[in-house]
Amino acid sequence: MKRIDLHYVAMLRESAGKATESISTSSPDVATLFEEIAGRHAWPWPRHAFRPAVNDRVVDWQHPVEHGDRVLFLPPSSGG
Amino acid sequence: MLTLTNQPIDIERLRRECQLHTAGALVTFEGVVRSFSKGKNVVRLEYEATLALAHAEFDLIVQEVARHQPLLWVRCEHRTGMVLPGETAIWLAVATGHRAEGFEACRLLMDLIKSRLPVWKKEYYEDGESDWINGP
Repeated sequence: MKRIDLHYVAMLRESAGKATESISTSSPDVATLFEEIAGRHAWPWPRHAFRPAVNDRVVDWQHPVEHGDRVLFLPPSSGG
Repeated sequence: MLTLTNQPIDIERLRRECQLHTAGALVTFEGVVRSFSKGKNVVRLEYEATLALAHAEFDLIVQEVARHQPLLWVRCEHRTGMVLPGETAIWLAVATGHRAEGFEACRLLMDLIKSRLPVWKKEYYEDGESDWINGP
């Protein structure tokens, strides 16, 4: 099991009811991790609507999850 | 350079930062909060951003545009927190040698900022409802 920090933003933060949490996971990659977390919080949104970011860098969904990672799932941007 | 601020954007201060004497064009874009959206009256917005990731993504966006347009200088400031209708939400300036490449670079940068910069906007309406814009 790996220990990671999850940071929630926007509608994910509201749905999770918290901005951060530290969890243990065996998910090998961020795609699997998203499904694990989405199931835990009963998120209705499809994974493809988001982009994963690990340690302040946008990555692809096959990116491995490592012990100590800081992971975010980025909703569609709406800045500007 | 990108800055994120929860204070009103001071355009005159930002404009003074550009002291280039090699630029023939300074193209700017100012995004302003509308008082209506989806047929409703908007009373305020809340912008949320991830600081480190926003800076990293902005740098990548500028590098991508610089591969197509000869950028001399880029400056952007984006609001966070509560913003009211009529207030400036984003200010972007692009300095280039000539106006055609300046217009194109500004358009490209804004398109990429809107689609990729990790900033999220929630609209609050007069009827008490609220909505994340571009939500999944």
